[in-house]
Formats: sequence, C-alpha cells, structure tokens
Amino acid sequence: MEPGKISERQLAFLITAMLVNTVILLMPQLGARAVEQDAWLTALLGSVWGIFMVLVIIALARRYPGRTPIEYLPLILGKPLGKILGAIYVFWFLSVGAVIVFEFISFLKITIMPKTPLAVFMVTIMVLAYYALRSGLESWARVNEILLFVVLVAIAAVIILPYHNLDFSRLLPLAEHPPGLLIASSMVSGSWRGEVILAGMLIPALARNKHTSRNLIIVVVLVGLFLAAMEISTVAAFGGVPAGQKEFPFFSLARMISIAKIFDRLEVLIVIALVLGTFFKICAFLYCSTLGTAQIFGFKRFQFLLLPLTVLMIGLALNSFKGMPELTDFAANVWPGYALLSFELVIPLLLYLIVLFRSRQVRKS
Amino acid sequence: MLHFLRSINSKAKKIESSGPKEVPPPHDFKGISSNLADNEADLRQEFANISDIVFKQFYAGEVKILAVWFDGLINNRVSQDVFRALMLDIPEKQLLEVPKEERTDLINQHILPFYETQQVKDLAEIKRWILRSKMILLVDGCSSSLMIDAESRPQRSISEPVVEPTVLGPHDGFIENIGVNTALIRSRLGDAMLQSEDYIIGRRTNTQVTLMYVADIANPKIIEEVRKRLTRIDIDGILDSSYIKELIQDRTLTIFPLMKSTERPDAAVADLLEGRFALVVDGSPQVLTAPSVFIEFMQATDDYYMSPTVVWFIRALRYLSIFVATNLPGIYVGLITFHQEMIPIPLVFTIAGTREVVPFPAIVDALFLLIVFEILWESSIRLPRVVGAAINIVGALILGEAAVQSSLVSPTLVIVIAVSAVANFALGSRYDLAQAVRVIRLAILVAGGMMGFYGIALVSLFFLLHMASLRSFGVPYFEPLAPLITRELKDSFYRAPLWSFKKRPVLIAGRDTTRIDTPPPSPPDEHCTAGADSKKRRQKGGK
Amino acid sequence: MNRIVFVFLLVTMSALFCGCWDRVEIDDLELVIGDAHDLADYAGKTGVQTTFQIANPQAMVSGLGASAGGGAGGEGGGNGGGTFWVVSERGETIRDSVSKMNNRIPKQLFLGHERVAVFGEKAARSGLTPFFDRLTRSRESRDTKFIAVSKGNAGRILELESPVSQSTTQALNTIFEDKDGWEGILSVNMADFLYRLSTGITSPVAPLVEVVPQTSMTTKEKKEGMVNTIALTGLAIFDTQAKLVDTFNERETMGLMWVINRAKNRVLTIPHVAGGKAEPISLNLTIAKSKIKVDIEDNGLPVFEIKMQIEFDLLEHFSKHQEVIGVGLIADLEKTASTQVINEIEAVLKKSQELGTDVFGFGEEVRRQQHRDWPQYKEHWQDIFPIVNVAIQCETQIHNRELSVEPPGSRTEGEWHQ
Repeated sequence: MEPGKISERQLAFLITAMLVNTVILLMPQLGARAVEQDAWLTALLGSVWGIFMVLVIIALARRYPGRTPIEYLPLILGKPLGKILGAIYVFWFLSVGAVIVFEFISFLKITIMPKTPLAVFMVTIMVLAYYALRSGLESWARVNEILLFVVLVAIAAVIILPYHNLDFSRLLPLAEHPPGLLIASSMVSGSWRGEVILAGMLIPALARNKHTSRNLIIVVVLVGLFLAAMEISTVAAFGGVPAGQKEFPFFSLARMISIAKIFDRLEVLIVIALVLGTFFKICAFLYCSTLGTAQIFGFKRFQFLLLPLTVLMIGLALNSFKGMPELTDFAANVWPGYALLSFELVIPLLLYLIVLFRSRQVRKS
Repeated sequence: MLHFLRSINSKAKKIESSGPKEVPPPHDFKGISSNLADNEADLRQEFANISDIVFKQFYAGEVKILAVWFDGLINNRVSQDVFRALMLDIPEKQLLEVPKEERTDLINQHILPFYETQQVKDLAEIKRWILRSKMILLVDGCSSSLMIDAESRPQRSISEPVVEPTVLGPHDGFIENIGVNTALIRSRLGDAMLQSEDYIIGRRTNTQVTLMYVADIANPKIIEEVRKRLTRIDIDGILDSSYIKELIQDRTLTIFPLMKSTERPDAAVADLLEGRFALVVDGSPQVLTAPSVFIEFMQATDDYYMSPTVVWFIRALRYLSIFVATNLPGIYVGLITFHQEMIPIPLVFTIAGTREVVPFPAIVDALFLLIVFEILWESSIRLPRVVGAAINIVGALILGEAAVQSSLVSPTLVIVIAVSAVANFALGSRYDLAQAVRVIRLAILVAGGMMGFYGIALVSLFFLLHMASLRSFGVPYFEPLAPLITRELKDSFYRAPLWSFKKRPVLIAGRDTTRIDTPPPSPPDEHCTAGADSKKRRQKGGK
Repeated sequence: MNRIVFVFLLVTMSALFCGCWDRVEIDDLELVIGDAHDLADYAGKTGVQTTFQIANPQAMVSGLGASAGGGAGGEGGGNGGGTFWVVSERGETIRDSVSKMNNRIPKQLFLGHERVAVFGEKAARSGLTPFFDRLTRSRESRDTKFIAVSKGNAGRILELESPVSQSTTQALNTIFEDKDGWEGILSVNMADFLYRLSTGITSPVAPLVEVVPQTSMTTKEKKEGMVNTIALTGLAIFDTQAKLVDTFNERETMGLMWVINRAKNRVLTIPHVAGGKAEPISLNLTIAKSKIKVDIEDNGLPVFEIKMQIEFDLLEHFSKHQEVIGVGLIADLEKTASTQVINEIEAVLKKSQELGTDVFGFGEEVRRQQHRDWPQYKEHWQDIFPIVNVAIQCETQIHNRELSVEPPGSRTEGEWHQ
C-alpha cells in the first residue's frame, strides 16, 4: 500500500523522536510533583513498561508479517469486531496526535510567542506535516534521521550546560519514597514510552526486518536513560519541590544555560530544536491514522485521505483542551489509564493471548 | 525539400557508432544522381538563400568535381591540400581509367591523404554534413559523394576554468568544442571501458551530445535511464548544456541543482570514476555529470589536492558559510523583532541604540538591503567588466556608507547582510548552489521577520523535506545524509584520507565497487631509515 | 496535482505568516535592566511598589561618559542624557503596578534583560514568597536572576547612579557574576533562594545591599552631589517563610561561606606575634573545602562535625621585623589561621542558633545522611537546631609565599631605625 520503504535505523530514529519529544515537556513536572527528587527513578522504571510493550507488539507483528495491526485485527477477532477495534485504534492515533499537537503548540505559545493564536501555529505545522506526508514516508523518515541528531544534541545541551547551577546533593536522599509509589508514578512515564506501539503500524514499511525488536528495546532503554538524565539535571538545578512547581521544568532548565556569561537565554533555540523533533512525532501520528483509515476501508491508496484527516486533527487539537491546566490534569490522571492500561498494553496483550490460544488449539487438532 | 525536413525533424537520434562514420537512417533515403549538374542544382536550390556557402567547381584531370562547404568552417590548409591533391598531383587520366561509379572510392582510398573521410550517397545526409561544417566533394558521373572532415570552427584555446578556479591541481578547463572536451576527458581516463555515445539533439541546431561513462563502474540502469531521457528530447535548438540539464533532470520545479555542471576535466573524470555519467554538449564549456547528490555541491576540487586534515577545517568553514549565508539575515531579524531576550546584554543596547533612529521596521530594512545587494550582484555580472568596477564603488562604498549615515538602515544590519553575502560567495565554485542559497536566504528572512525562529524552523524543515524527496536519476538527493549511509559520510562534513575511500558510492556505482585498495601509509620498517645505532640498541635491548 | 499542492502550501503559509502577532521592534521596547520591590500603601491597603530601572540604549552605546553628561536618574528622569531612568508605581500585585506604568512610558516594557531584583527591607520583613510568583511565572524573567535585599527602601538603590558602571543594577550584576565567593559576597540567584525555601528547613539568605557614602569622588561628581553609592554589606537572613529575620555582617557572612563551600577568594588577615608585638599577616585563599558529618548522639540529638580543609598562600607581611617565612613560621601561621576560621564559623553558628535559622542546611544534611531518623526531627527542626552541638575542625595549609622570602629591609636586630 505504501510504496516507500524505510530502513530499520530510520524506524528506530523515528521511534526515538516520538518517545523523546513532548514527553520532556510535561514528564519532569509530573514526576517531580509525585516523587520529588526520585523522579529520575520513575523515568528509568518507565522503560520496563516500554520493553514489555515492544515485546508484545513485535510478537504480534511476527505472527502477521507485512501487516499492520489494523489489518490483522480482523484476522484475530473476526471481521466486524476487528474492524470496530481497528477504527477505535485509528481514532486513538488521531486523538493522541491531536493532544500532542495541542500540548506542543501550547508550549510554543506560552514560552516564545504568547500573543500568536494557537490556530496559526497549528495550521502552519499541520500544513507542513501534510506536505511531508505527501512527499512520502521515505522522505520524512530520512529527514528525521538527520534532525534527530540536532534535537538530541539540543536536549543534551540543556542537560549539561547549566552545570554551574547543578547541585547534585539535591538528589539525595535516594529512593525516599516507597517502591509502590515509585512504580505507580512510573506508569505516567511508561505510558508515554508506550507510544512505541506505533511501531506496529510502521513495521510493514520496513525494507528489512531483522533487528527490529532489539533496536526498539535499545531505543526504549536509551530514551529512559536520557529522560532520567534530564530529570536528574532538573532536580539538581531546582530541587525536587520547585521542579514540580514549574509548568515546563525542562524549559526552565534551558533558561539556566549561560555560556561565558554572554550567551544566555538560549531557550528559544532549544524550543526551536524541539519543533524539529516534534514535527516528526506529529507526522508519525498523522501517518498512522491516515494509513489506518485507508486500511479499515480497504483503500489501495491513502493520499486522498490525507487532507481530510489533517483538517480533522487540527479540529480535534483546537477543541481538545482549554489550556495547560486541563492538559496537565489529563496527563497525570487520565492518560495512564487511557493509554497504558488500554491501547498500549492491555489490548495488545489480550490479542496476543488470543492468538497464542488459537494456535495451540490448531496444533492440538 | 520535404525529405530533407523530415529527416531533420525526427527527434534526437542516437548515432550508432561514434565519429563521422555514420550510417544514415534508411527510411528517408534519396540517392544522388550521377549527373553533377543535377546534384549541383539540387544543392543550390536547398541552400538558395545562403550567402556564406561556397560552391567550388574544378577539374581533376578531365573529371569535373564540385566542392561544397560553408565559408569559414573549413580548415584552409586542409582544403588547399584537397585541391592540390586533386588538381595538381593527380596523374593524368587516372580518374578516367576507373569506372565512373568508383571514382569517389579512388579519390578516397588513393588520392586524398586524409583519414576522416566518408562516402555518402544520400542527398539529405549530404546536406546535413554540410550544415555540420564538413566539406562535400561531388564527383561527376558518380552517384556517391565524399565527405571530408576538415572542420575548423572558430574556437578559443584551452584556458583556466572561469567559474571553478583552483589553486592546486590541473588548470585546464573545457571549451566550447566537443571534440576538445571529450579529448580532455579521454586523455585523463585511458580506459577502454570509458564508453561514449553520440546523440544529435535539436531539430535545427543539430547539436552533438556525447554521453560518456565507464561501462563497468556505472550502474547500467542509470545509463539506460539517461539514454531514454536523451532520446525523448524534442527541441529546436540546444545552445548550452543547461538546456539538456533542464530537459532531462528528474524535477524542474526545484531551486536545487540536480545535475552538476563542471568546467574542470579532472572533476568530470572523478565523477566518471565514481560511476556517474558525463554529458558533453557541443558548444558548451560546462560538462554535465549526474547522478548528483547535495554534498557534492559542497565539495571543491581543491579538497582532494590538499591534506585531508586541512580539508576538515575548510569543509567545516564551508558548511558554516552555507548556514550563515542562508540563515543569518533571518536569524538577525527574528532576534531583534521576536526574541530580544536572546541577544547578549551589551549587544542589545548597541542594536537598540542604533536602531532607534531607523524609521523602518527591521524586516523592511533587511529586505531593502538584501534586495539592493541582489541587484548589485546581478548588475555586476551583467555589466561589461570596465563598468563593473564603477558599480562596485557605487554599491559598496557610496550606498552602504550613505544608507547608514542617513539612518535608513542600521549599521548592524549592514554587517549582517554583508557577512551573509560574503558567505554566499564562499560557495562560489558551485555557482548553481549559490543561486539556490539566494532564494533560501530570502525565504528564511521573510519567515524570520513574520514568525521569528518558529518560522525559520518551519521554512528550514520545508526545504529539508523538499530536498529529501528529490532524486537525481533515481539516486536520493540527500544521500548519504538521508538516507544515512555512515560509511560514505567520510566525504561529507570532512574528508577522510584517500586510502580510506575503499568503495565507490553504493547507490551510484554499479558493478566494480572497489575504488582504492591501498593499505594506509605507515612508517617504514626501521631498517630503511633508522640509524645503525638505534638498530644496535634495539638488538641489545632484545638480548 | 503537485502544482496545486504547491500553490496551496504557498498561499496558506504566506497568509498565516502575515499575522506577526508577537512581532515587536527592538527599538519599540523599554529595556528594563533592574527591578526593585517594596511594600507600600495602596488604596488603603498594603500594596506593592515596583520600581524599574530602564536603560537608555543610545546613551549606553556611547559609553560611560554619558552618565556624566546630564543629570540622569531620578523618578521619570530625563530622556536624553543619562544611561538609564527610573519609573515607579504602586499596585495590588506586581503586575498591577507595572500595568500602571504604561500611562507614562511611551514604549512597551520588556523585562527579558533584567538581571537583578532588589527587595526592600519592609517587603522582606513581611515575607518575600508572594513576590517570587511573578518572577517565576513570567516567561521573560529568568531563574538565574540575582536577588538582593536592601536596607530601607529598595527603589532608592535603583535611583542612585554608579560611579563606575552604567547603572547600579549593572554594577550589582557584575559583582554577583564575577565576585561570587569573594570576601563577604555571596551571590544568590532566584533558583538557589527558592530551593532553600522549598525545603522548609533551610533558611534562605540573600545579599544585603546598602546605600553608603562614596569615599572617593571626582570633582565633577562632587559638584553634582553624587555622594552616595551602593555596597554589599552582608547577608539578609530569612526564616522558612521567607521573612527577614536578621542580617549577618560581613564577617559572619564569611563564616557561613566557609561552611557552605562558597568561599572562593578571600584575604584572611591573622595576627602574628613577633618580638612581643602583633604584626598582621595576610593570607590568600586558594582552596577551601568543607564537609558536614552528622551523627546521632545517645540523647537522640544529631551532632554535627564540620571538617574544613583550607589552602592559603602568604600574601603580605606588614612587618617591621625581618623574619624569614620559613617552615617553622608557616606551621605557626597555619595554626593561627585555623583558629581564626574556626572563630568565624563559631560566631556565625552562635548567631544563627540564637536566631533559630538553619542557614547551613544542617537539617538537610540530617535528611540525607540519617535518612531513617529524619522523620522524627522533621517537624521539630526549628526547635532542635538551636540546641545541636557542632564540632568544627579546620586543617589549614600555607603553600607558598609569593616572590619574597622575607620582608625587605636591613637584617639588624629589633625594630627599624626610626
């Protein structure tokens, strides 16, 4: 269906871009609010959830090579149920994409351009996403391959460059909070790590599928380390409690950068680097929902669906939340259940169990 | 007449064997008569209104011969030799002794001491040869004529490349003559596998285009593709290789050059050795090579003639300058109209202080200055060289100085635009990329002025996406950056030592992929250089 | 189709780009370089008074000389001559007072370049917490902004001219940036202050800035009556509710800086008794390190051990005696220096225990080092801190004596010939 083929590395980079971007905006605040200076532990623990999800989605993809979840859902659950669940999944992709757009655009608006209307940001970035998707999965996956480097360097700069303001004793005492609380709050981090299940939609576009599971697990673990490093830096700069008091601790951290006492306030550059990363995350969600829609209805091409879905995503994003307080509340309380406990982990796991059960029955008979 | 037109009207034709030994297409064959007067009448009618054609009738012994050529396109010495051989040196009656039909054979094989001759029987072809500045001999009583390649077109001598000068390396450049250009390539690449195919393109100009490639390096699919695209061309005239470029490149609506044009034979040969093909177009000193990728335009020929460690620095400088050239005005305007907090404190006072007296918004100011600069650039290219100096004085000194003095623009902005322009010239050896940079700079400036860094990010993303979707003869334009081919990055942002270029570019080269198989140079064994004492010491130590 | 897409992109993009909602020219901004916050009566209630120091870029560019050119400063001062001018307003909140300034200020206020925030004494005594909300919430202000507390009215600090810098806030900023850890200068940025505040046990501190008479003046400055300038004179000590409790003088500040590892540059002058007379010797600090160890005593109280490791170079011997600065003498000096450091620390310790303000972060050390026992102290730390025992150890080393082996002069016994 999609003529473009991507390499395993491009997939890994794409997933990295998805797991890092926008997650770094809210996660430090939620982590620090829940467990203060132990927030970085939850970022690490979140990877465990992520690894689990990678294993499930890869196991399913192995059973149905060359098919996306939307295509194999009817094969597992039968046509009507499978199509309905597929449609729900596609809507989930679309709505999560809209949430991401809203979250990031709100971030842009609050931090660098407070007077510009949300719609302007949204339409500009979505029109560009539309252009990217029109020019094919190959080309935007390729550009992501280059730009991910820029994004990661920018984030690493935010982690490292405020070194003169970092006081690592603020991370002590270690693991002050009970393990139960740590694991519970790692679900917030883990649910974002669970966006890795979008890989299921992209695996059929792989030119070669040999090391995908290994790559994805490495990506999930590395992203966990990366986010943990950022939590460490945030807490070391502000302390556990003040970090949780900031809307975007990452952004506040970026504002601490001062190079040679002359170049400071470089946070705009960091925000711009995040635009370059988040763009591909938005592209990935838009791609998956478009491809999924086409597959539900059995269309051979999906280009013509692109425009309506782009418009739909803009509409959803514009009407999703009132502002950051609502979004933060959603991310802390609703999102782990909405994502981790349903679409990301539980449903795929159930599907896999059904498949296992069926194949065992077949073998018996 | 109709026949003639029809034969020329056919689309670009591939000439089966190279050189003048051409076999005409059989379908519009019209033989010439054995009566010289008829033939002359035919030809005179064809070239009725042409004044610079020469019909010279003379006798070789008893036989009447007609020579036809265009004035000035024939080497005088050769034509004199022809006349001397036929009019004076020919033994009496020799031509009369053979059958009438074999007269041209005789002249060709026994009398004329030239190697580039050919018997032609088709009237249309005769006309074509005459038009392609050859001399035609029509012999009375014989139904075939003789073409003599005594071509001597006006041409300049081989000189230093104008657009791509280098300090080190060869200093010869292509000229407007295709024969010389192919010779320049072949003299550097003495390999039987260097193959060349001739095409005649242009209904009216009948321009010769030679496709050159190294058969066992080039990817046969790409060569097949370029053949297809060349034969597809139907145009009245080809005046320069850029016509061909525009007609065969993968996409026209792009600002990026999709084929590299070079006037350096060494650069063309280097491309051939990487598995690319070269298109030499008659009348153009720019030889096209493709498939081209973006990073090629960031490389200069000099890079390969200097120490790789030095080139690391130079390459870094070049990438910096393309960034500065495209982004600096946009970043400046974005900074002072959107992100003022980013400007270092001492600088913010300077900029704010000098801008206080400037009446226009920063974006208008910047656009004004940039456009003035672009106009200056344009005018300095178009103007005769003598006047050019005056323009420079007016532009650089008077305009810049006066604009600042009259507070029309802020001095900081003048510096910004000037730095950006100078950085643009640092890409000078790749003129077509430098043109693209001008467009990108303008786009980024407008975006920066409208939406600050967010706008710049979006526009940059747009250009990157656009570049990633481009292909040059099927090869991704952004290779090896996107798709990322780490092995080939050694000739992108830096240049690795030559011995490490073990393989040819994987997406371009076809079969023979090994480029260099030399081990890295290592210090010599100690017995060649080290003094006797050190050897002894070593032996002692060993014991 | 492609062309349609292209045109569509072009049109939408350019249409959207033309909005430029956030665009503002740099010369349409009033660049605020410093702000001061005071408590003041406003509409019958206690409100805030906000004072901004606003740069005059044209004068700033032309250099320091401009400050001498015209009578700068002063409320709503001149528009041409000075390098800055000051504007002050009252309101219910900081933003409220700032919004009132718009009636007088022609251009848009831009707070992105303010470097130093000064709080008045009255505001500090009533608690600084509400003032920080604006400073952390605003995207324009930065977390690394330095804060200071003024004796008396803070606005007055901004109104003064600095004889050496373009403005007082710039002078303060330079001091805080370049001289952090020198002598009694402890620069505190907002993130530091807020961290200490967030612990609920450690007392926040902020440098104290005061108006002092200018000791040396050019004739011009004298003529213009520029007799006052500003100086840092110690540290303001807050309780855990960010209310000003007391101040440390410079010596006490230096004592605190030893303990919290902030001493970077210090000239320590110690008495040296030679020939029956005390002759001062100055030492230059090269490295100082402190470690705080916490143990729990049998009576359940934590006991602290401060271990100092300090390295000095000998800087000056103001002496009439000729004495080779040799190994033996250095050993003596090291002991004297240690005693002096311990004295300094003990002085500040005594004062802070009397005040009940844990400026050293002892409570946090207990939390980190005796993690299990911490919950039982947590609630009562304010009561425990004044009675804890602190042992101070100081190990001093003097390494070098610069370029002289002994002071110049003849080597006769006794004093110089008068």
